[in-house]
Amino acid sequence: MRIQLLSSLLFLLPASVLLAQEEGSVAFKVGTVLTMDGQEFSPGTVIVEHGRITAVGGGDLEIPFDVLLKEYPDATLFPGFSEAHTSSGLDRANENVPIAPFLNVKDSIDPVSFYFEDELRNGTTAIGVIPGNNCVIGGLGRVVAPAGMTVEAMTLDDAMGMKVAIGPKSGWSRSAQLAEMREAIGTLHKDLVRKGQDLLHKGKVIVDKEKADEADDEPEDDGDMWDLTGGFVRYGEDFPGKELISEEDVDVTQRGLVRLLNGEERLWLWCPTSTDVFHGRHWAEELGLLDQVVFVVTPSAWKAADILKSSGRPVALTGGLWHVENDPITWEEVRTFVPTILHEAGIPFSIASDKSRMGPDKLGYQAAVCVREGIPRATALAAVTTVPALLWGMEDRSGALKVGADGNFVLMDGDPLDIGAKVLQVWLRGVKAYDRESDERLQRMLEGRSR
Amino acid sequence: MIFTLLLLSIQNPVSVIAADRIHLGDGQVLGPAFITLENGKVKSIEEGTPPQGAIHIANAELTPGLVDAYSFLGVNIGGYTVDESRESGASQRLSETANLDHEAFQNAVRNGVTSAFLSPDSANVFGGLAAFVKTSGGDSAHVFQKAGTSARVLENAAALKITLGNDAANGNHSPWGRPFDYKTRRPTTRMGTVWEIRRQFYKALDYKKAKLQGDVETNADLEVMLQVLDGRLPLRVQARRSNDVQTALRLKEEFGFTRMVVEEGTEAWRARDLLAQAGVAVVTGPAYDDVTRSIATGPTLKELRALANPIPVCCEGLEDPTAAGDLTVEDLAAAGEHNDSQGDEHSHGHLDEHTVAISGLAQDLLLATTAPRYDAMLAGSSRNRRGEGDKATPAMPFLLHQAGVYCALGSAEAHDSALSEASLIHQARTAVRWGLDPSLALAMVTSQAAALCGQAGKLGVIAKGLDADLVLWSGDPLAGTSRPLLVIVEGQIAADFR
Repeated sequence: MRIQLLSSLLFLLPASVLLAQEEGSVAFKVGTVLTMDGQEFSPGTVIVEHGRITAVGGGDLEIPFDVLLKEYPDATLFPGFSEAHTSSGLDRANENVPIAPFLNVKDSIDPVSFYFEDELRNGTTAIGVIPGNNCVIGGLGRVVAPAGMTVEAMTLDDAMGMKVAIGPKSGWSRSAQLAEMREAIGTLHKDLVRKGQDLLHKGKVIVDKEKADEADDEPEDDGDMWDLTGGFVRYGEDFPGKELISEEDVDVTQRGLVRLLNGEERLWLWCPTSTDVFHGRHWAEELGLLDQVVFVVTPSAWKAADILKSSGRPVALTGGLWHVENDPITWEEVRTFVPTILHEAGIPFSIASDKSRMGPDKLGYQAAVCVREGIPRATALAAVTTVPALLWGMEDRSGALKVGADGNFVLMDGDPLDIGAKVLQVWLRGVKAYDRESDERLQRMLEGRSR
Repeated sequence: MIFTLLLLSIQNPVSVIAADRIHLGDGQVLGPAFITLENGKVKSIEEGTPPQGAIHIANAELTPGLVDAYSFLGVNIGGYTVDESRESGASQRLSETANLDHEAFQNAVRNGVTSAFLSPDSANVFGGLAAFVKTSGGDSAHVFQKAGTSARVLENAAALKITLGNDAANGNHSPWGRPFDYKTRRPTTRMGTVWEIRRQFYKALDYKKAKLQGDVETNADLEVMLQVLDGRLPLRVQARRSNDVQTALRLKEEFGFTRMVVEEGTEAWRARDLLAQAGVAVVTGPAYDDVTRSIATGPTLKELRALANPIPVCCEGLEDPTAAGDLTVEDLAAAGEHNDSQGDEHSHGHLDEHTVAISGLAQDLLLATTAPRYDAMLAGSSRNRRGEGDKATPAMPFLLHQAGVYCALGSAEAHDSALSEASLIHQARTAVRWGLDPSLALAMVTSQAAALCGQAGKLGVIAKGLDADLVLWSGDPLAGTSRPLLVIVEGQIAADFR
């Protein structure tokens, strides 16, 4: 009997060790670890426990007994690419109302869209999805991972910020664009002043009623928690009753705008050209919101590099890397490689994949192009890893392999800037999200199978 | 005299150029070596240390000038370059109408392309005679140039272009319901397009007979077709869909075309064994490295039919084994088939009460509503790629080569935009990423490309006595981090990024 018990215990022992290996805990010993935190280990080790990185180091790092070790001596491990700003993955980029601070991409992201599948396949681990630029105030974005069956499961951070467009909506002039913005803010102010007066009056009525009926000790409680939480409006000059206004008192279509003006939202300020950069900065300064701004620009904004620099704000470069214009008199082509301008001005910038025109659109390729045109390798890699994280305010969690960060990383068979290197695996929060070997669609294409 | 010297110095001929690695274009690679140029030709290739005064940049690698085997450089920009008023424009020469001054040529040169096959637009069934040109030189503004830009034309009848598929029929319409114009004509369908090809070639055969019998009025179009039938002129067939490629092969068999090349061939990989059997070469169009843009990844018609015609409730969890576990689309498709087969022993007598037979219209509607999501979102859809040849794979050059199909890469309209990164060298890089051997990829944009354009042994390789068309790259030409430092056409510097 005892022998039987003992043997069954022995039998259970390895099983218990297996059980101890938690979901989201894994260790990798690989050929090279690019931490993007200023360090490179060859060989290197990364340990993830419960979805977070607990240690990064050389090949001699000790692995906790309950963490599954995986060894790929020829592979390179790095944090994966980050797409700072995109409207991909949404069914439509913009609603057809110009002022839409009440919209949220969480209602539009399609988790099973091929866009996300393809990004995962190409080693992207974080994507900032935000409404498009064809708006005045576009709505709220969020940072997602390209894996998961629901928007909630994909979400890495829901506080990416609000899209605000200074560059005109299609068919609009610049002046109409800015006038619409001022009008929306003016209307809001008028509504808030009226609401403040209403609340003061309501309060007075209650006080009068209390005086009239002194038997009532307590003011009438309608069970509404919002009545106790005034002070929702914190921007601008004071007006009577301002401190009484709670979130609920403001119309649902305007709450987002109040939050924006309060300075509670990061502003993704669409300034496609250099003149928009000037207007955008002026607008943000006027409202005291410059500290919240991320300038979303296209290459043609490079001429405002000094304005961008003196703003002290980072830049998300979209729509390609080159600016090309023809001299109107000589027809000579003038080509400007915009990342070089931004790098030399010392402006932190992210680059984007470019789906707008034919040709290569991968973040890795765009970074390789930067290196090709003379940008230091570290800066080029940062533009697709750490800078997007910085723009999202997620620098502690995303974009670099460091203790405390999310266990998101990509295993490649070469350098991330080598366009021939393949993505072998993608891990998100310590769980495998992609494996090249089981990528049926990719295999089908590689082998040339019709079905 | 001083003035002349000044101008000559602007021309800036290169005499000796050295590199750490010289790719000869035919697969051979030389170690540190140098090339001596004379009168725009390669005088000698020698290994070892270069003499004083040679152009020598550390880590640089030298390749032959790239040959773009299929391009629309200067073709469809700013107005028509081929006449669209009739379907057979076989004798029209693109070399006389293409805009050789267009900046697309500069973009091509900047990316290392020194010669290019210009393909007539696909607006009519017989697009005309293709041209083969150098991308640089022959500046018409240059005082001492013998000829204008036409000096760049190496071949004004490089091939006859015919178009299969949608493009040629696109815009044509029947006489009903629309005002009569020159587009009121056949073909309006794929069938009509093939009919037009067949009709013209049979006309040409009759013409040949008539010519042998006696006096007959000369017909320039039919003369061109006779050249094709006699194997004196290559035939370029634009065919994107796999069934168009197969149509091309059938036409080859019917008329005995000996020099046929399939152009663009977006889905040619699906017919690769047939192509290999027939010995027909393929010049690919631009590949997209975005899977969602390069392959129609959605469900098949069968799967859609199954989704529209789901398993009846009465079957769930009973006879159908798939209902118990996770249902996949394939399972549903299989189940849909099971429904269709009325004679099957598992089918029930009451099936028809629960299932709605999906009619042609309903199916079309279903496809119209679901297909856009799965559609191959091809950029450059102006060439009507959208909806035609949507099953592309960037692995095509590799797959074709593997099957034994001779293959070269083309850029189509990739060089039209100054902003595009999708140049010819990028096509080669993409092919390597998708499985092709690097030396083969390089051959597909140099020696093999030249061979498919009828320039075998003349261009696309670095060899003694040939034109000195060279590109000096900042590193491995197939690395994404490399760029051309120097592009040389016939010994002259055409682009300098040193």
